[in-house]
Amino acid sequence: MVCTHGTHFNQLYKMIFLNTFLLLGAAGIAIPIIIHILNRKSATLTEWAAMQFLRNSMVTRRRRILLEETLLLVARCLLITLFAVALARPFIVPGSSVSWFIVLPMLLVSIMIFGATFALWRYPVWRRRLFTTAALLICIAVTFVILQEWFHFQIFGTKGRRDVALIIDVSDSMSLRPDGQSLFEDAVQEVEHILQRSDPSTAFSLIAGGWSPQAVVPSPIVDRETLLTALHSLKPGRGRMQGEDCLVTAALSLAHGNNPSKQIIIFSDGQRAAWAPGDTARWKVVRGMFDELPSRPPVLHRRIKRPETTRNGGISAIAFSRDLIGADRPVSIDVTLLNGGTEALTPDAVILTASDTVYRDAGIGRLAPGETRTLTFRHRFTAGQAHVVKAELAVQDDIDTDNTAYRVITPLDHISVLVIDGHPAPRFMDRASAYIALALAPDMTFHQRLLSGTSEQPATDSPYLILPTIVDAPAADTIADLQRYSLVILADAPRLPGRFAERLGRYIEQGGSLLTALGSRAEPNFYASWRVAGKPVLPAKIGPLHLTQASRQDRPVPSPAADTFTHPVLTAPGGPGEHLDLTSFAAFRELIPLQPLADVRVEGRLDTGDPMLVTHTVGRGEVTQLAFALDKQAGNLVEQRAFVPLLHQLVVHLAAIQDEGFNQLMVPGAGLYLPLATANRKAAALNNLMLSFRIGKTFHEHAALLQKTLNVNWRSGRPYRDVPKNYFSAVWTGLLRVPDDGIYTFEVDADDRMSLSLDGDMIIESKGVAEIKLEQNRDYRFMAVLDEEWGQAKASLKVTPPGGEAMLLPNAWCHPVLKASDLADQYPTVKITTSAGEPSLRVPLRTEGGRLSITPPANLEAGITKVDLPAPFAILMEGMLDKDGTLPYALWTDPQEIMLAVLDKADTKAMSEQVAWRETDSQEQLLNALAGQKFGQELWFPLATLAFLLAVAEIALTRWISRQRRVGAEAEVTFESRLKPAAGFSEQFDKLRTQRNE
Amino acid sequence: MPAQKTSSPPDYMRLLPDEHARTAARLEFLARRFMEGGMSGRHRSPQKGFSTEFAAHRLYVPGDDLRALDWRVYGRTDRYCIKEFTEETNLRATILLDASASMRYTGTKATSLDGQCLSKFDCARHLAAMLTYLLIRQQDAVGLATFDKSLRCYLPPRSHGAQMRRILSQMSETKPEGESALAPVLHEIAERIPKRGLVILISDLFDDLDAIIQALHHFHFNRNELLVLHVMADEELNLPFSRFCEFRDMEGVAEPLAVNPTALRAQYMEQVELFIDTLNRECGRMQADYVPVNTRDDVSDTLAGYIMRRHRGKK
Repeated sequence: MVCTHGTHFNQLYKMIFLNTFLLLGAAGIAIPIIIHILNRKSATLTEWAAMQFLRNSMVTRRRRILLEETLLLVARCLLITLFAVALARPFIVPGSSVSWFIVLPMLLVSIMIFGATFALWRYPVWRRRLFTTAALLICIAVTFVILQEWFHFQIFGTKGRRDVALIIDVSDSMSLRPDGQSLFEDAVQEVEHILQRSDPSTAFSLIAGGWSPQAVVPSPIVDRETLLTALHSLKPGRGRMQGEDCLVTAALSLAHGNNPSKQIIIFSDGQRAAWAPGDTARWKVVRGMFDELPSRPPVLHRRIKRPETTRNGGISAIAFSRDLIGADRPVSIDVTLLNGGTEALTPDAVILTASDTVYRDAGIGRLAPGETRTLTFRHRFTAGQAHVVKAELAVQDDIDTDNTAYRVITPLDHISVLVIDGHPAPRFMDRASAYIALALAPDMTFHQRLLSGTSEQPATDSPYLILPTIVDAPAADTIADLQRYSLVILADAPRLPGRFAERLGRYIEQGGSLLTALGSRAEPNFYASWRVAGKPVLPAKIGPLHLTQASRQDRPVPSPAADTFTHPVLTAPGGPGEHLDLTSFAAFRELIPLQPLADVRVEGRLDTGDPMLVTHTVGRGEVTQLAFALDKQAGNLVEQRAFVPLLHQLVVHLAAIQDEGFNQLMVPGAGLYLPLATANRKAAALNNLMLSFRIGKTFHEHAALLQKTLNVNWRSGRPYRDVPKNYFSAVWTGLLRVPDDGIYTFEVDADDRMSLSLDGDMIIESKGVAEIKLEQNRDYRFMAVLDEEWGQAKASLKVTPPGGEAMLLPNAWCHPVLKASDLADQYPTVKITTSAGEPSLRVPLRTEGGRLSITPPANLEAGITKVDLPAPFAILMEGMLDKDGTLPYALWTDPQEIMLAVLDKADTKAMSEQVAWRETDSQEQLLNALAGQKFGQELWFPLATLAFLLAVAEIALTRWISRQRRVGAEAEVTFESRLKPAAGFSEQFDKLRTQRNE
Repeated sequence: MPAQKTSSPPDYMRLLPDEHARTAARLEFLARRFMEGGMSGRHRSPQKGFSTEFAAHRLYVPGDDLRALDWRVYGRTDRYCIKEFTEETNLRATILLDASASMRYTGTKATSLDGQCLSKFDCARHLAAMLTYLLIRQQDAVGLATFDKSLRCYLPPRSHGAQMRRILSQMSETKPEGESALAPVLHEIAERIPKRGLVILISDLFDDLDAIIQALHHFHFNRNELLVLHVMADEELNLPFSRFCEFRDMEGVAEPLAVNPTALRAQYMEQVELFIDTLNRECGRMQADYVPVNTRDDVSDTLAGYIMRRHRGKK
């Protein structure tokens, strides 16, 4: 952290000491010197006779003794100096141009030499030399300081052109206005000053740090005008800043710069929600980007100070009680409030607006800091359009942008489900599909009316969300189009007609869902051989029918084992799976043993361990296989309370995946998918051709309509709305399916000319007749293009089927279809509008894996964004658009931004470990950093480390010397007679001594 | 009746305390080599005279004493041969006492007498006194030479009782001072002793070792038996000091040396060991007795131990 200590005097030398008084400890180097001197002064005066031995010993030991004494004295002087300086905490002030990493070691070496001088005091020559050297080093160090500080020689300064990425925080929290001016405005002012006062050769790029980093100026430039213009175009209130993503964007912008020196400066209020200090994976990505640059850029964080106390409440979540919302019944809407400030709040009310209906809840009460509160509203949506749900928190707080949240709901009209009945009994309740149909739409009369024939009879007037259509298995081939159904259920169908099986396989591969409830009638061989694109359709082979204890007494009754459930429907809290336990369920009487194939998911088992529910993916579709039929013959599951919710949840779950990615909650930075599959599902139910208009090479965005056949005569007038009378092209597209195999004759009559192609092959170029062989029940991509230049405009297409007469193209053979690549080619951009009244924007339309998407700009306002779909798309999306005819999306606002917590020391320390992160408190420091001057840096750590190592070395050296000297300590010189005493000498000697003493 | 005067012993008798005298009285010092003494004594003389120990035969020449004819030899060989006998003579010992300043060193571990630690010179004098007493009692002649860098005093060997008083008195008056220059002095003394005798050198030998050895060879060349009593203090042997010391030469020759003794101790002891070993080896070559005398040990024990070892070794 930057320290603000220091006086002007210290500033002169640009190194300050945070604990200056401890520097006096450096005087302690006198201690070892004084001890050394006192040792000699207090030497014991000894009159000695054996000088020759002393002198001879000194000859060999003098140098070593001298070296030992010198080393010890030097080490001790340096040790004391290092400890004193480290404790004094030297700090290189920003702006210091002195290379203290050279000057400081020079001064320390001079201390070492000074200490050595006293060890060699007895040698005048050495004494003089060492003193001179120490003085010289000190002079050189002082000269360096003077030259760099006073004469600015910048010997070690780093100056040079540099690229700087400026990241401006535009998140919601920057809207705070502590003193009438918002933090964002403070940041903009700071950036302006930096741009004006920095070296003209410094190039800047500009990144807006909102919910999606936006490179406003993507490459570093020196043009200050352009930078200022871009700066003033920024606005706050863009959700939560994604700090690490901003650093990646900044690194990418710096990579485009030409200067070798790089820096990143962030202007932010330090909102903690913008960073993930502990997410090492994200920081690894950041470091990886930094490593691509010529030099790793330091990251300077200019923290815009915000008030200590804040008041901020917001809407943190809007949740619905169901994922799929229909118009059949009300839905609960939970609105969660959060107090993210430091003071308690008492909101006035929460106002929920849904479908222009306003609900108000004023009884919220007091919200403590950090407290959340959830309010529940109930509303029934009407079908036929998209609805915007808006929740507002009426409260006096510091940030307004998080007080409102939006959602978009497009209630489903119906979920169409096709049920293939394997036992089309005359009596309804005897049918294999009876319980399924009643569970999904509990109105027998309704079903009986639909079952008046055996062919498909889709109903459109059902009051229920899920609309089952029952078709007898043998008549499955008569089903015109599977695409109109969200789900197909096989209700104990023995087998499927060949072509239908093929079509059903393709339907699944293209994203359809299949649920099989096979029972005693199922033919294992058929299902085992049923494949699509070489892959088995069913995830498990079925075995012969297995009768359980109901008919056999010697085996246990299999029941569902709840502890084996992994399917989302079975494991949902409060879901039907909780009811499928032993107490509520009796037994299965008939089971179809399943032998799961490889790479499938067994998501539920019986208590015998046998699979009960197996799923796998085929292409883009999902197949769910049960081990039992959903009828009374199989067991009494259909009588359980859990049966209806189980079936409903399965249908809803399986139907929901058909339009993957379509989400009307827009996440900033992520692509936005358009519901092409939904549009095509609707189109499959229509018997029309899509007519659109092209002027020159551009397709008219708003001119498109459905036509039952191709027979128009516009004479000299406009063909449609604001399509010009002349010089246009009318384009009919769709899928053509003929009823029989054979040769079909197409006849085109047009003014000026019309081309006709099937599956991309031109069969008629201008007008005339063409014959072509077509196959039954195969979809041909149909396109007819009328080019009108001048005058009358008309076109007609007749077709003569094999063995039939010429007629206008029957509409029953056609239905419209939208192809992602064609739409992207015809309509390269779409218009989007935000709710803040900003001008509309055009964004590119992209295809991605057969899906259509757009990438919204990063500077979108919070609220509702409306996408103006191209006309063909909009026609098919009727019922899902809002009253303006656009497709609304709600921009997701991050609830974390409501919490006004700032980065603390632990956070910045964690980030410092990832990148060269520095906190700055002033513009001066930033400008100094931009000028290439060294940043503030404490030096105590390296000094303390060096001192520690030196202490260890000194102790080791002292002990080693002591041990060397103690080697001879215990020994004594042998000074006794070499004459060998004779035997009995000791006794004689003792006798003599005794006699003497007597 | 008039008061009887009690006479106190002379001052120089401090050099021969009673216990030392008692020890010396029980010892016998016998020369190993042939001695040239002026009197008949117990030591072998190189001369052939009348004694009890047969030495050799030689042919008769007119004038020889007929009492010395060996008639048995004549009976066997018809030749006239005279028996020669080893003459026993008395010992002429000269004590060379180093009185240089280095001998003044006392130390703290030295043995004490009458409550006072003995310096090397004191030990040397006590040794000299005991030897003098011992030899005089044997009716051997004892002389004394004191020296530092030059010969200070020389008392020729005499065997009468007064000689002891003279020697003790001279030693008592001698003060250890002055530089050491052993070699030239020893050479000079070697020339002063013309006959074969016993030379007892009592010194710390702190001088050029090669020169000392050369000087000792001079004595050996003159057929003298050598006894080197090497006196050193325990501190001089082991340098037991731990504090920083400034060593000043007692003889005032060498420059003072300020040093941490622990730093030198190992090398110092090596030097001393080398010095002692060299002396011991060279004395052995000269068939001289090298006796280390540590001042921490009782001088009478040292001398008695030496003489008893010598006695047993001769036998």
